[in-house]
Amino acid sequence: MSSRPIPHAQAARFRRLAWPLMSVVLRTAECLTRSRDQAEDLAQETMLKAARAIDSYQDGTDMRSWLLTIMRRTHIDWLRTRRHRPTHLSLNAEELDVLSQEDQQPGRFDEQWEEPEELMERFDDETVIDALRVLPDEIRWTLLLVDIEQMEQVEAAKVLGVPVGTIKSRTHRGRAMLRDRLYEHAVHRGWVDSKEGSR
Amino acid sequence: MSGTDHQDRLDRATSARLSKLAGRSVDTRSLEEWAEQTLQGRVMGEVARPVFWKLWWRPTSAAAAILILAVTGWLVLSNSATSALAAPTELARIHFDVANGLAPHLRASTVEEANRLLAAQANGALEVPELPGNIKSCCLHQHAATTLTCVLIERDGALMTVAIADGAALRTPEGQPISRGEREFTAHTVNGINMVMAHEGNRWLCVMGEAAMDVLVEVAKGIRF
Repeated sequence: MSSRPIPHAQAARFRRLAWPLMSVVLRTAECLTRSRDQAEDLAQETMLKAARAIDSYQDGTDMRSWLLTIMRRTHIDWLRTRRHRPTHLSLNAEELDVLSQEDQQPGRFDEQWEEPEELMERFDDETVIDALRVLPDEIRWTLLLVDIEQMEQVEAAKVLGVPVGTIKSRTHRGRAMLRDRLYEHAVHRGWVDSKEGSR
Repeated sequence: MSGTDHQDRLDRATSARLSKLAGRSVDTRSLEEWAEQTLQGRVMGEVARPVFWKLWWRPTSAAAAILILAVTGWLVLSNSATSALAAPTELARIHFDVANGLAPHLRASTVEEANRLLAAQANGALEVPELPGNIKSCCLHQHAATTLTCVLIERDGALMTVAIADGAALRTPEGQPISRGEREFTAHTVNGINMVMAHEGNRWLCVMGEAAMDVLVEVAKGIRF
């Protein structure tokens, strides 16, 4: 990255508008990456780009959406870079949007969730985040925006650059995929029966 | 409980569990410390570097600048005689940046205001004609060794970027031909972004966005130079 200076006025605007959302940026980065160091790197790059582009932010629009749009593009660049680096092949395999055959039929355990609210509460945050991390990138981003950040679907569609209908289907599908992952954890921990879904 | 009710309940429970992650505390101290140091260092225009780096930096950067100038000069000269091919992928990226406010831009709401602001920015800005939509902002982009004058407009809730360049500087790549009366357009779709390109008078024109191709053609048809 170039080290051209950020003017005072720009830095002040960044402090006033973007700085208060630093926790949102880092929290999102933690769900997208696999280590604290990677999350910090992604958050730093996002905030640096935001500081440089702060004059292009339109007052009255959603700063959180603006920052997450920048993070989205930064994250795509990261993935692209890794895909072109042979030394990162092992990481690629984990991060690519490759759906396993099971993932293409989400919700295979859905009929076995008897008390979903109670079972969901038994999972700690780290387990839920780990389950999120293995979802395909587009699905993960959708759940991050719609369910975690509670963004309107229209707003999430703008951040991800897709139609609202796509957000709706990805949300539904993503929740089902997440449930499947969590149900496997529940089976592993002996909280529920291990019988296979009926689908 | 019906299957649909059960699915709804599962969805609500999943969504509720995920929403609690937003309340999770994250330790932003090191990120804030980095941001503070970065802003201070950059505001003062002084990035902390070891002394040997500074000594090495100046002659190296001077040599790099000369090399860049030479290459740029060669590119300008080699491109001045012929027109360049517009790149749909790059144009789609430009639209993405413009529509999401990621590129430096100027807020404008009328053609007159856009022309005044753009003219004050650079000599290469082309005059923006009347546009069939509400003007949101304007900006300039370098593309294929020429300057694109871009205007973001909104029409029926859809954001579209109108890009204009010197007709002699850009060629339209082969794509799907579309005829509307006496006007001819070429359509492309890249990464979900539709675009129609045309030559009109001495100008090259591209209208792009997520709107349907027919809508973009209608907009392009309404632009005259």
